[in-house]
Amino acid sequence: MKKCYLDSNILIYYKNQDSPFHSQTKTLITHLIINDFYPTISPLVIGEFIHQFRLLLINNKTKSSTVFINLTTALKQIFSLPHLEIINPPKSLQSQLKTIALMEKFSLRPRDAYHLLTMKHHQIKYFATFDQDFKKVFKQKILSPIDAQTLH
Amino acid sequence: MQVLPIKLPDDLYQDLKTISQATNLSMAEFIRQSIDKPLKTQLKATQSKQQKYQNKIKANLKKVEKLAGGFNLGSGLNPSQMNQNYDKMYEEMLP
Repeated sequence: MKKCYLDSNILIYYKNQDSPFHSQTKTLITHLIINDFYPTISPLVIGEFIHQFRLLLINNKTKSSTVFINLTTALKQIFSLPHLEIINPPKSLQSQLKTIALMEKFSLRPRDAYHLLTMKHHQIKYFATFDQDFKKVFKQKILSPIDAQTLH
Repeated sequence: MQVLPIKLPDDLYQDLKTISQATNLSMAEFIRQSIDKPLKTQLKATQSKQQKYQNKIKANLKKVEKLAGGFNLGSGLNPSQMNQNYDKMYEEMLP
């Protein structure tokens, strides 16, 4: 069983069918299933998804009374993805310090370094994202980027 | 008909020879008859397992298709704009 960590941008584009990246993410998740990958997310991903998706709903003049209903619906649908697993960051205090080392080594933002720390802690080798900030991580083969084309 | 070269341990070969002589069947024929039924049973089980797996994949793909979209929220932000947005969120959290 291979695990692939999904960035929040993947989930947002998967749920918003107007996005120019929608069809690409749908194909990506389809290929993950075909190739026996287990999609994996963390509370950090969920938090980012809620933040961005809420903004999308508000910017599209969704009634304030239905914003939270829509958010719940979207999140429930993501949680229904086959074999989806939620992983947590490491607990130890020593591990938290590694975040700073990862920021320095790979020129990452704190949030991205925390994603990487979580993936490393769970020995996840594959990462699906549109984020260009992980270039150094991919280049040093700490993680392998996954997209619809690499899986096709 | 395909030829399958197999190596047998000496004791197994001797046993097979004894049975072959007793039953008046060639060793090859005895092996063919012996493996025919269990092989078919095993094949059926394997095919059924493969079919179940394929069905599960098909069901999961239908699920992925069904769960996709559902919201028409405009083109939204590109990945880089989304990053800027998260940075802004962090800045707002600062005192």
